[in-house]
Amino acid sequence: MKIIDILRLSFGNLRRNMLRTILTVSGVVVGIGAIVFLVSLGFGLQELAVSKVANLDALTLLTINPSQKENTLLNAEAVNKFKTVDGIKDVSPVISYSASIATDSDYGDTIAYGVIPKYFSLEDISVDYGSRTFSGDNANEVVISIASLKALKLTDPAKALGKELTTKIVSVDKKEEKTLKLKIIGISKDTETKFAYTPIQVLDQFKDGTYSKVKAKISAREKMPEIRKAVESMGYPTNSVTDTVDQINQVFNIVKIVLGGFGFIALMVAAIGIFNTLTIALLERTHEIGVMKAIGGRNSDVALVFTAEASMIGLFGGLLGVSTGWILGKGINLLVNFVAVSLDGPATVLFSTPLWFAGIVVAFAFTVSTVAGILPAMRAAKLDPLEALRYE
Amino acid sequence: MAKVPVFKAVNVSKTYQLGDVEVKALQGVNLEVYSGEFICIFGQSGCGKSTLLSIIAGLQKPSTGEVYVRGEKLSALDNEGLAKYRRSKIGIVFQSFNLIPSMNIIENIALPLTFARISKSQRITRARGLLETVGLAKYADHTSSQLSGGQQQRVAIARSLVTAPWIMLADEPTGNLDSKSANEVMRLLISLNRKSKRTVILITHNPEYLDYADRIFFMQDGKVIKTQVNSSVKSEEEVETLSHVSEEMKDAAGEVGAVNTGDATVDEKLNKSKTKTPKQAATTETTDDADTKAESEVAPEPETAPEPASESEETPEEDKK
Repeated sequence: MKIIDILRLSFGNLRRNMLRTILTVSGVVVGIGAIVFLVSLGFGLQELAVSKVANLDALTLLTINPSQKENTLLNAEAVNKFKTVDGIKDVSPVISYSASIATDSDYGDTIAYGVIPKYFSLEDISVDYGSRTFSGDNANEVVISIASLKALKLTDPAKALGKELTTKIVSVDKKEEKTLKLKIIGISKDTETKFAYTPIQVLDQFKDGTYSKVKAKISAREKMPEIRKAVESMGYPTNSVTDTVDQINQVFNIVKIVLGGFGFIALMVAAIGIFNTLTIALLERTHEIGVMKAIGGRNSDVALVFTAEASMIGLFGGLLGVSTGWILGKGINLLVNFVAVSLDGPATVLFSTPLWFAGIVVAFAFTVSTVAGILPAMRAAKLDPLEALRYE
Repeated sequence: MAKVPVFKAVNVSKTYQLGDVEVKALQGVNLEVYSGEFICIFGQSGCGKSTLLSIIAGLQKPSTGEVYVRGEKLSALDNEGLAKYRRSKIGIVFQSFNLIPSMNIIENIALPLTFARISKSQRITRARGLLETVGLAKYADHTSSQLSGGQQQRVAIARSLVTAPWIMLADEPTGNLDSKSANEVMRLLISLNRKSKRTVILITHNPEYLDYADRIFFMQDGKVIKTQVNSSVKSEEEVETLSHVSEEMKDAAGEVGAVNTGDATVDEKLNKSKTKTPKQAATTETTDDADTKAESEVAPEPETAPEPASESEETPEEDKK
């Protein structure tokens, strides 16, 4: 038989027993719906967690740290070497000192970073008030966070901008202290992290020629492992926000497997339902199978008609199940956000269903159903034509 | 001796195991059927005639012995080969019609072509043509349950013809029909033999039909006990002598007008068969192998008769009406 005729015949058979078909498909819908709903929740929470840790830009940023080994200094020479590593687009050295900052009346502390101008775009540091552009490489200017200004009682950006801060930095190695006068030109509204950025030349008061760390921008997230390997082979330890993200992903992968497992159990029950439906159909249609064989139907024709029925149940169930799981997720998400927003909380995306996942789930439903149909199909194919004809 | 029989059964036996009891359905049956012959296999219920037909149809295998179809061993065919054989070489008509209730009439008729991977438009055209031939064109979209027994059997005949086989196997095709419907079906079968030169093997326990056969195999207890050759066979028109045939059916067969031969009544025939003394002149008291005489007396097979059509071949003109 042609495939189109097998499909026609199978579809006709399914339509003939509409109620039974609907019930069997419902079983698959419940299983697949549960998988999609639960795993989508896993995906949603995962994306939520990752987005709290890092933005997409941060995932292409590698931090290179000073080596513990002697003769492996993190200096200008090393930076030039990093630039030659395949996949590294840009490098930006950073020096940092813990610093005390003071106005005429108040005193506080922060961490001072000496950076080059492009560091801001590299790290995606946003300046909410003022500007992040230093007037020159040697300008005594600073971009600072609200967190650092709290102790100085300068949390009003309008008042803080343009103020001059007396900044003291200390070199632990040289047991030396330097004092700088830095003018606030930009403020970040970050109230959690203390930081203050100045041009690197300004902060480089001790002239020891090494950097605290080097930030490297890489061309693609996927290249991170090999680039890290290359840099680390030079003797420099690295870290990246991808480490944290990987850990989060790992946890959520397990969560998703567990959640999907519940749905899988439901799908297995549905598969037994399909098996049952086809076995009953086999009994009902035994005589019909006998007729088909007597007038020239091949065993394979009979088997394919049965298998196609199972496959169709799986396909319909898969498609409907994905839709159901997706709609259910969206609905609950809407409900949660409605409550959250009415309580002045932020609206969040809790459910996320990647298209590839939906596709895989439909394919999975199709496969499981087809497999469930194989045994009844084989039995149908092997029926003795004469005995089947006599069966009423 | 050049002629190869359409069917040749050599020492065919069939034994069933019913619990501890061994039932011998067939015991050493030998017979030959030639192209264009109308054969009746006659016997009471349980004589093994249906078993013989199902073996010839490739629906079951004999316990011992061999069936040859145009010289080819049937046992040499695998399942696929048997399916193709049933699909394209033979047309089977059953007592219980065996239409598939979930399909409409056209789909039922076209089903063997569906198996033969013929396109939908082609097979529908072919099925419609045959439905017209059996005079049921207006029932194309009905289901079998909406048709009378006689109509269903005509549909079943149309289905058996759809792949244009040159051998018709009919197992008590009139067994479930009233006499009027039975005559319509018989007339159709006889017409297939006389006009289209198809080989017809009819299984029956109704002695009325024996006069239409070229040869009759009488069966009893799983054996062919007698072979009878009819020197003059009745034509399809003469079916009308059995009882009334509807106008519709006359049109279907393409022949109008009854010829009353003034032949024996149904009752007389029934009596004849009971005493087993049909047309003495042409009777050969034989069993098993003594059928050489029969062969010589059978009207020679028209060499012009087409070979069995293969699945893809164009259908014979007769069927297109």
